[in-house]
Amino acid sequence: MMDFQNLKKELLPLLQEAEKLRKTYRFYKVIYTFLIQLFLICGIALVLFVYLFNSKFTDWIASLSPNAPWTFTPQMLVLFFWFLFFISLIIFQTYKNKYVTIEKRLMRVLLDKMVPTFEFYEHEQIKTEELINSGLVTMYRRPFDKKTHGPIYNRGQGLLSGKVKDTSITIGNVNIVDQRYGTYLMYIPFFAHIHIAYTYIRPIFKKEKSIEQIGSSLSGMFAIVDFNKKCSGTTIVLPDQFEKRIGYLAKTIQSLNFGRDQLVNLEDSEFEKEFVVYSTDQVEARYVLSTSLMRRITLLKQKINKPIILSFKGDKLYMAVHHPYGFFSLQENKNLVDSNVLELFYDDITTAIGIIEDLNLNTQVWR
Amino acid sequence: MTYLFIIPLSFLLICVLLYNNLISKKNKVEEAYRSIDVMLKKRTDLIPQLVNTIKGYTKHESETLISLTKLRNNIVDRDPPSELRLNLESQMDQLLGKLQITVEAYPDLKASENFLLLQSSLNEVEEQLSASRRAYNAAVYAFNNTLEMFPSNIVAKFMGYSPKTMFTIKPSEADLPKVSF
Repeated sequence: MMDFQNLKKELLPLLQEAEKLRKTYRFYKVIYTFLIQLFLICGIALVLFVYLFNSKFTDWIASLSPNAPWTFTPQMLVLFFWFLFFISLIIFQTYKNKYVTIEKRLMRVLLDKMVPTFEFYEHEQIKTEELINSGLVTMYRRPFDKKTHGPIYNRGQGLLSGKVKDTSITIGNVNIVDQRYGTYLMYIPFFAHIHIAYTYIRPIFKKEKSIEQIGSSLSGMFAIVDFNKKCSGTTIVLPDQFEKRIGYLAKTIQSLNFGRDQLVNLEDSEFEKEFVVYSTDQVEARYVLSTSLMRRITLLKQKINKPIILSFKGDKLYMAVHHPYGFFSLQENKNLVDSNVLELFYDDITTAIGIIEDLNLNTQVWR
Repeated sequence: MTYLFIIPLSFLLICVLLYNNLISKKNKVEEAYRSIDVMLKKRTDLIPQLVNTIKGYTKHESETLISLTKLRNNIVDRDPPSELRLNLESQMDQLLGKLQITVEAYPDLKASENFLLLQSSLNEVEEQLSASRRAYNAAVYAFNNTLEMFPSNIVAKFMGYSPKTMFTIKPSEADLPKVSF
């Protein structure tokens, strides 16, 4: 793999060109986001205002002159807002497309120099069948038809695939639309409102989440790697949310997760603190998660320092790592030339390909 | 008046839940024990093939091979009770480990495709056996915990349950094999 400093030097002219476009794109994005926020705030304020000062509001509307259409009226204000909104949307989208094009070009050149034996397909995606097969993506099941899953919508693009010695690896960028809540829950009063506000409105005001990732249940890296053992069932390793907080009671809560298979209690206490394991078969889960692999997974989690989820099915290991800004993309809120944004991307790719070494997947004892 | 029914009913319900939980955990231990049995059977089935393959290549290991065959026959033909069976399997563990080391002295055998295939099958079974033992230990751990925790310990006492023993490696098996150069 090429040294990062030399790589950055070689890419400098392209980086400078991309930086100019990024700045313009960010400027229009700020305007566009501001208009959305303004629209939401005004909508809420209007409802509150009408509710609290109903008579004053009616008086004010009545006082406006209907004979002079070009003077200030609420309708004119709304019309003006929409005009501004659509203009900003068009400009924002145009610059976004330009920036994404140069970003992909940058990435192609970068990956070509970093991992020349790998192939990068910028417009391809991880196949939906693979996502379903992994069991990592939360899906809703149709009422009265438990076998059929709802479709999965993946908005992420970009695929890097290749081999490290004999082990093949495919890494993709995923951005899966949230479908965690089935139609049953939507009958609970106000559940849909709270769910929409939590999923779609909250991220607009959140700093570490890009606006493009809104409404996604999984956004980041998804890797499919050859695994050196064969499994007949599925074993899923998820981040543990409870163990550190409530200790042994966590196991009782986790065993009540009826949407998952059997809870597997493993012996490695450090691994158990970080992860919770569900599997179709207790013995197979232990066959897959040998003591050495558990140790390696814990170390990998500490190295990546981001939530990771894994699943073992057939002769494949599926792994997903959450990246708030997506995987095959550069953090757009940082300067491309001066900041460490390129270095972070370089590290992400190195770490992703390094999974094979880190988890010792190259040692194929049984073949 | 209603309380007179609610209190004993809820008490009965709690007792039923605790009883069922204990039964389910006890059955899980038995299930895990059976899965070890299945793996041991798989391993025993591989022994005749392994002995036949090694026999052709080695001259000085006949004693080990004879012991291995005798042990296998004892397990298969006599169908010993579980404790004796585990003892015999443990002896087989030691013999197989010994054989793995002695094989190093026969390069032709190590290169044989048939032997490599058998060795990989044996390794695979050993790995699955170790997983089964770990699953058994986990089931015993959960069962023993329930036996000692309040209030299930009261129900367990009435049912006459006692803690089960986990799989442990004998000190002689835990020792690293001596390798001389």
